[in-house]
Amino acid sequence: MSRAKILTLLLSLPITGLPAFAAETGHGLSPKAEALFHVGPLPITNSILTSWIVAALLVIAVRLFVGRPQLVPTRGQAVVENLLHGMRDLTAPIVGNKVAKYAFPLLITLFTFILIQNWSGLVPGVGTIFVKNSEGEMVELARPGNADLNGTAALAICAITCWFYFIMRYAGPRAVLKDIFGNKAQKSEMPAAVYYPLFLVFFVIGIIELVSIVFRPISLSFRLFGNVFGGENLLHAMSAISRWGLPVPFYFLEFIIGFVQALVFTLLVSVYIGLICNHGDGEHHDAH
Amino acid sequence: MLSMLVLAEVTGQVPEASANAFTKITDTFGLSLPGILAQIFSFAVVAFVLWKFAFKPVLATLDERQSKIAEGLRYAEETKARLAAVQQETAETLKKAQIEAATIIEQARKASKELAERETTAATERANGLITKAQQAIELEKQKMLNEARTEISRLVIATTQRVLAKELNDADRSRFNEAAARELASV
Repeated sequence: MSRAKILTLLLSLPITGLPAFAAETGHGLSPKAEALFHVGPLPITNSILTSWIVAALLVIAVRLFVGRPQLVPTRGQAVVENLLHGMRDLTAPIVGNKVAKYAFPLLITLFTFILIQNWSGLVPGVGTIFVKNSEGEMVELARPGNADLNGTAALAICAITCWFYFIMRYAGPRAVLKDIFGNKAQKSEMPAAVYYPLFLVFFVIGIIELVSIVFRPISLSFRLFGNVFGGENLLHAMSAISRWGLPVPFYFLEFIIGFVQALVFTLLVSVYIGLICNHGDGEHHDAH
Repeated sequence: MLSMLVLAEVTGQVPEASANAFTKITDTFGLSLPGILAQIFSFAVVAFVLWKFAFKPVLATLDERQSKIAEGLRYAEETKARLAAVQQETAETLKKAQIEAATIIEQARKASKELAERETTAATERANGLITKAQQAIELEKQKMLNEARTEISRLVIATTQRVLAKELNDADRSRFNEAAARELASV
């Protein structure tokens, strides 16, 4: 076994042991984040606190990695460059060349933010250290930002707001309405008796599409929340069963799930933008 | 859901039909408008800072590097094309030079052959002239020698005759003997 693998295992054991010490044995994670204290009318919950700290660490880490960007990159800069390059290559064909440049800031920041928030649940102490809040209740000091529906709903609202801006700015209201309610059949390929009734069919399909669009932020937020919250519960449960060793595979599982969910969220937003904005040049010319 | 949250937050009322389900969801998951707004604010700030101070400069550097690489590749291609053109030009020049050299050598060979022939002819002519002159000189020398010999012989004939005859010959006799000796020697 390589030295790196042995080191990873040795580090993994105490890391997984920490939550085991602090976890409430046999008691699942609360579905809602608990307020630690209030700043005016705003309750500062453990998830908000964690997301702030993690976000600040992310910004500092990326700045430290990047430094002053140079043509011959440092190792840290190369890591960030590969991330950016990979995400750009992944999302640009989906959203389309026309919007790719403008949508990329949203997509890359969504990905990194969600990724780091998802992985924050793996940090020792998050979800396992309890403190008394302002009301005297014992609550978790830190909770992953995406294990709170407020956090995932916020991300979904940001994403959908930007999606709306992009489709209105780069496709236009007319194209959007045509895309949702318009008759997609080719007039030249079918008789008029079939073609014109299809307007009604596509209008009804458009209404269904509209409902699905309305539900997009809900599905986005609940999918992410469900996965991260489920992962947190899983880690708590495994730690409760056995404090040493048993949670290790699940930490790796959550590591992968955190990445996959960040990617799924980002790719879905890309697809939503691309569905309206990315029609390709050929179709665009045909439409005229 | 957001509109209902806003409605609930602002008026404290939501439509009766969905009130129970909505309240259940918000209570269960702790959804609140301030919480969502706080998280939106967090994400917006982080996204702005990350993009402005980290990702954007890196992307600019990436694009700059890509343009430099593209420029370098284009320059390499141009250099390669130029090198190929120069090589082709060199080959053509070399070929042309070889042809010219061959022509010059041929011409030189031809000229040298002509010169050699001309010189040989001239030398032959000169030699023939020299031989002719030499033959003429020899002939002249021979005639001269013969004349001298005839004169000497005539003198000797006259002297011998004078001694044999023991008498002084007069001019007529001398002339007659001379002529007789000359006539006899002419046939030698």
